[in-house]
Amino acid sequence: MDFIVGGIVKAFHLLLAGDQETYSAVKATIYVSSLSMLASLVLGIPSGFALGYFSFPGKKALRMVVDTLMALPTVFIGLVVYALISSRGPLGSLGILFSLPGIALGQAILALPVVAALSAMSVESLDSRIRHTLMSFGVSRTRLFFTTIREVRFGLLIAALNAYGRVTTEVGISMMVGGNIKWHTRTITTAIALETGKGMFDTGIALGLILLMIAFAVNLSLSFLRKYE
Amino acid sequence: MTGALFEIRRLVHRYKDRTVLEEEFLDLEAGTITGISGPNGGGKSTLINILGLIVKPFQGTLTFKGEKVEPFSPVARGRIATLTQDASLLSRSVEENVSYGLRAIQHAKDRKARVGSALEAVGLAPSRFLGRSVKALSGGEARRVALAARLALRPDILLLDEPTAHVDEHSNAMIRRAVLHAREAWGTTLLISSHDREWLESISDRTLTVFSGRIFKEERVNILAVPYDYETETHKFGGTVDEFLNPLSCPPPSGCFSAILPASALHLSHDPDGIPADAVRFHSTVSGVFLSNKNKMLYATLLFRDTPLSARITASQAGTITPGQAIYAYYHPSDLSFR
Repeated sequence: MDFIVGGIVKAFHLLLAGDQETYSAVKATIYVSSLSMLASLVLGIPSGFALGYFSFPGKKALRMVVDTLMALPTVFIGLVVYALISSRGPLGSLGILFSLPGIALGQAILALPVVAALSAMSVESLDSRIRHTLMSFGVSRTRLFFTTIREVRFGLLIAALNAYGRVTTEVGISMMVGGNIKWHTRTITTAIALETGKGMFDTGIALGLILLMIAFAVNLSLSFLRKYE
Repeated sequence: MTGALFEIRRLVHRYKDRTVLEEEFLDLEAGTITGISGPNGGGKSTLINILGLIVKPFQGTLTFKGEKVEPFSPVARGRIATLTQDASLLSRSVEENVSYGLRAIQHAKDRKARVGSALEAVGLAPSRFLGRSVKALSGGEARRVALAARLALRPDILLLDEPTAHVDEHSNAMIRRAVLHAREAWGTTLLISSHDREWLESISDRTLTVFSGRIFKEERVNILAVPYDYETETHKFGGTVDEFLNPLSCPPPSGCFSAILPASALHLSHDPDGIPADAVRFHSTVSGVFLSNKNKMLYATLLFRDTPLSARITASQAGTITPGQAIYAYYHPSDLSFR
């Protein structure tokens, strides 16, 4: 029990003292998660909107596939991305194996089905009368799209939040694709895994606390947006 | 531009394999009010959704100001507005809802003034309602805000599907006043569907009856439920009066079919002995006497149980009947037409 309490105390010390190694992992985490979230939102929101809004043959089957992809194991994604971007893989020429963009690619694949499926779900749950209501003003297709997006904004925020949660807490992709290289591709989660393995609980707890703080900050800003929107 | 403001030609709309609306020819003249009545499921809302360019018809052409239009046509943007029966509000403030249409057509010039006057037209004080969230509105207020959003556009054509359904008396009166104001102030052409035939008759230049996917333009018509014998495949004219007019009195296996009876074929009599023997007769109550705006004919409105009916009457008959009076109504089965 003592080592846990001691770990928490040392964690605060590391954070307040601005430990370089700790902050390097934090920086790497924020960088890759921002990159992967940007990619997954840009691709996931329009595709999720289309999936929830339009009716087309095979929609149910496609929906089932996307829902299933939400549960993709991170180590499997890590394996696939590793195979794709390794020097023998089809994307080997990009040279992004053991780099932050490589991790971001894997994390985007992880987040994409989450964003798409949850966006589709919020569009589907939107009052079906909204489309008729908007068309009753004689709006253009573009405005119809953007107004509908605005009407489901909180659903989309929740989709993004869920995806962000998965991205920042995954270990498999960062470890396999990034290689957990100190000062370079070491993220918070891979650092926690490494430090715990070495018995360095204090660093692990410090990094865990930072992860919690990031999640708290994201949630806090979302609630602020909802309240003052 | 020549011809009517809105022209509908060879319109057919299908839902799966079922034809739900069929009309060869319908014109809406500029500045007129057209009323639509008819039973639920007859095609009123489908007609309004098609004319409001919300639903694309299976077949047929719609011409607005001489140009063919369909959903999303730029020429109709902001010029044709529809208050659908199930119109909902956006999850924003009242002001944002009422100004939505104006912002959609990028009308910025007098947007604030238009929003304010539209709210006033429906009896909602802008100072109290502009900043209010739609979640804080009652059902009647929400309906009025939805109407104000259409009025703010000052459209050429305003289509209203049951604008006064499910609202309180006060909201009902405000909506009716605002609708008529739109025509007086901006010359808006109105097409209004309502179950309140007396109100429709009193404000409309003409009243259409939509029944079983067809539009009856020429005369007020009554829609009756007629027993049908599946064994002999005939309509049972020898049944009781209840069977003819009350669908609930037609249990399986007989069932009921709906039939049209023109108001001119429904006759009234104080004397039961004066009614022809082959006529179907029933006792009803007079609810009012009206002069049709369209054909300048006199009509008596009747109630048989809860079924409202109309009978064309002569001027001399009008002097002998008063609202609340019990009277015999009768018709000849051969005057019924089935669809």
